[in-house]
Amino acid sequence: MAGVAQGKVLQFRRTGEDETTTGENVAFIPIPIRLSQGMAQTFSLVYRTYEGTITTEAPQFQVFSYSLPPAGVQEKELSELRERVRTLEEHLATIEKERDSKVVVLRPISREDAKTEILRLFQENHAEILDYGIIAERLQLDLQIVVDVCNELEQEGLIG
Amino acid sequence: MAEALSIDKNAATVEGSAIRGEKIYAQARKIIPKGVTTGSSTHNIQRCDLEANAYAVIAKPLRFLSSPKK
Repeated sequence: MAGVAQGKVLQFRRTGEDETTTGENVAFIPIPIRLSQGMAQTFSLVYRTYEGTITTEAPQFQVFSYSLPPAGVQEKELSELRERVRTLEEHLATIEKERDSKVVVLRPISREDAKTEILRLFQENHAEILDYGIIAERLQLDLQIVVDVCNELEQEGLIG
Repeated sequence: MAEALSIDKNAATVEGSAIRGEKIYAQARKIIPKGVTTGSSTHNIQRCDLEANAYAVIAKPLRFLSSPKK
């Protein structure tokens, strides 16, 4: 006789194996069970009503320990709860990402100083292709100043 | 921040103007995500609103020219 248990498996040992497999979080996976005839007949009831440890002489499992879902919590509800947890985890990741977002402190420098620094940055990285975002980030300058100065440097033929 | 608005004098300020590019740098006091769109032509396009002192520019690759163009 066979059945399928869908519970939180804490411990089991297969016939012929010496080691007992234990895991707190081996959760809610279908476990095919072969029990002795008497137990197999009431297997669905076993799943719903028993708590604690069953020790059986079943051919496939020598020791089978499990905990059950809380009373009244059906598979559909568990599925909904998993989905809600997944959604919350996604939201949490977004919140943490926003919280950890970098604060860029812009340096209050004159336009001429900004032009000198931008030109120096291009000279020091002459092999590298830069764009507005990279320049603004590296020099901690306002994006508008960077764009304006770059346009001027382009017109002067220094960058392109 | 009124001064900041006038730094880039070439920036378009006409209402209804649109910009399009592969990469756009943008800044604003307030950035409001508007979710992901679906549909055949706009699938997976994310939208956001930039509010208050919004400024955006299309990215442009630039490098130093060793011999300046005249």
